[in-house]
Amino acid sequence: MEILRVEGLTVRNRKDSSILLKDVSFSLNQGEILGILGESGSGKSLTSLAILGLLPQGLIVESGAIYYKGKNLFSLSPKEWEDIRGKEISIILQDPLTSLNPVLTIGEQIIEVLEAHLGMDKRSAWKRAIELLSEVGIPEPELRMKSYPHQLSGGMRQRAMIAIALACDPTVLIADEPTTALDPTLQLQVLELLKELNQKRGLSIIFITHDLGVMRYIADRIVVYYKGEVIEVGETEKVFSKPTHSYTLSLLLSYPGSPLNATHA
Amino acid sequence: MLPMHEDFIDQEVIAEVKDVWKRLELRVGIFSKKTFYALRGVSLKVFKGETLAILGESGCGKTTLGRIFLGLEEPSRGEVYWFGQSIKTLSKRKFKSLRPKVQAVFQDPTSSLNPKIRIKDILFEPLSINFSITKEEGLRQIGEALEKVSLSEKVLYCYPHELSGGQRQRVALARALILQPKLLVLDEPTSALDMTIQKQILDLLKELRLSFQISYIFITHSINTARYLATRIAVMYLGKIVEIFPAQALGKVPHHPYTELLLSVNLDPFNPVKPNLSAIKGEPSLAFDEVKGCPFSPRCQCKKTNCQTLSPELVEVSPGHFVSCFERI
Repeated sequence: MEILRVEGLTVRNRKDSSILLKDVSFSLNQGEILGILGESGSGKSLTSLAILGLLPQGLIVESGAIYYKGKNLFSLSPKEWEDIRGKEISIILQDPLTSLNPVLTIGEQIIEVLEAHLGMDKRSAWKRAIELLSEVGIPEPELRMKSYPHQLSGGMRQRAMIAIALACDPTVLIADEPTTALDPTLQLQVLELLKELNQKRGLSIIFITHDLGVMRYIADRIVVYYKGEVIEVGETEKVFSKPTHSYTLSLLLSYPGSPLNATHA
Repeated sequence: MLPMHEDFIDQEVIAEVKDVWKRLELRVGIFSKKTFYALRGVSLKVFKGETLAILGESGCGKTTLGRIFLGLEEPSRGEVYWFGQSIKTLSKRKFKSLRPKVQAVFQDPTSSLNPKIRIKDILFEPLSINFSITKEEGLRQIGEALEKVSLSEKVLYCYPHELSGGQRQRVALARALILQPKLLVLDEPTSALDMTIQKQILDLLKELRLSFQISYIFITHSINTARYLATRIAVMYLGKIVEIFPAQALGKVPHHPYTELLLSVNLDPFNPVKPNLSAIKGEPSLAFDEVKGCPFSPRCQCKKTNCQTLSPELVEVSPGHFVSCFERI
């Protein structure tokens, strides 16, 4: 079942009227991990910001629509959008150190979300926050509730970010390069956590990365971006073994020791 | 002895560190400091014409080791040798004459190139500092260096911000090559670049090494790039070298448990095997205290009783393959 659909999304920079996203279309199915692959500046992150209604000032949606459970997000009022953002669609970003608030404890940051979106009282929010921390595999959650972000290691911080993103039990999680800043051992643990949440909770995930190994490991289907356009969509296995677009092939060939050769397309 | 990878690699030692220790002080509060060792007794030789990859996770001391090889940082203990001479004992003049022979390329070309001067001047600066050279001769050499890294002369009058990331890294490479170095320390030269550009730079490095017989110290956290580029790999963990082996032996010999861990968590897009999550235990930490025994023992799967008390030495288990682990000796 389709849960989110981006249709013909075109985003323009008002200043120099350059087109940043051109006629982008793809859909996300319920319980699926959809990978978005592309190089820097190809519009991967911009798409995720558009889905959340957080496009930077000066960028305008020229045409297209984003349907979430059949509703066009662009027709929502700011208040309605607020109810979806962070509650039903949430996001985790690359560097947890910059996306967490350094002067609030981990506990305060989770409770903030619970109070704002679900109207929980302090006590039940505290209990729920501890549950969330243990769900994402943070040892001694009671103790960690009172820790500040800088007191946690990189892997723990990213787990805390995931706990905040999961606080309202979202249906869609956008993960924007969540493991790029992590060491390989920690990266694998975070990926595995996301896979587990996908299977246990039926969480649908949009996973943005430029890392081919990570993409192959986590994604069910892949959307390939090139200069603001979607140039290929397909099952992960198929994209890796038989890419149809020559740019996809050149991406795959850029992997050191890639078994593919130029005749594959 | 070391296997010959390509004919011109020989036993001539270009640079060497012997039992190098580096103590760093880290501020932990407003007034308190903690000392820790970024390097703890590292000895390593670089042979002529080889690519020696230094592989490790963040905080293992690989960048510090690179800077010590470059002479940019002084070790707290131990000796650094360039072409057989300890750089501590060199006269200022002698040091200056050897300086051009050991050059560096850093991770992020945006921060390693001066944004206020044109590419022409960026490339002329190392020449004018190291040699007395005329403008014409300088321009000729700059042209040659650009050709080596496949850049057109059009970039000469550009500022760094006008170039793409890949072009900038080529400029950084040209700046190092223009002095005709014998040893190039490459500190994650591709990790700030896009995938397709990364491959181009790696291939360029491969080509340059073969045509100019330069030795590389290639610092990386990626097993795949190490496998692709290196002729020899040294694996570091918490300030120590835990294993050294010829690159083609990667994955084919009994490795140090830490190398095995790195191999087991490596995600290969074209050979997707289920990685072994149970192999991951704990997280790497900083070596604040003088660690007793093997630095990897708290995270190791197959530790013996003496691992926590005795520190294993690097022992040659087969030709060119050194491991510091009681299990493997």
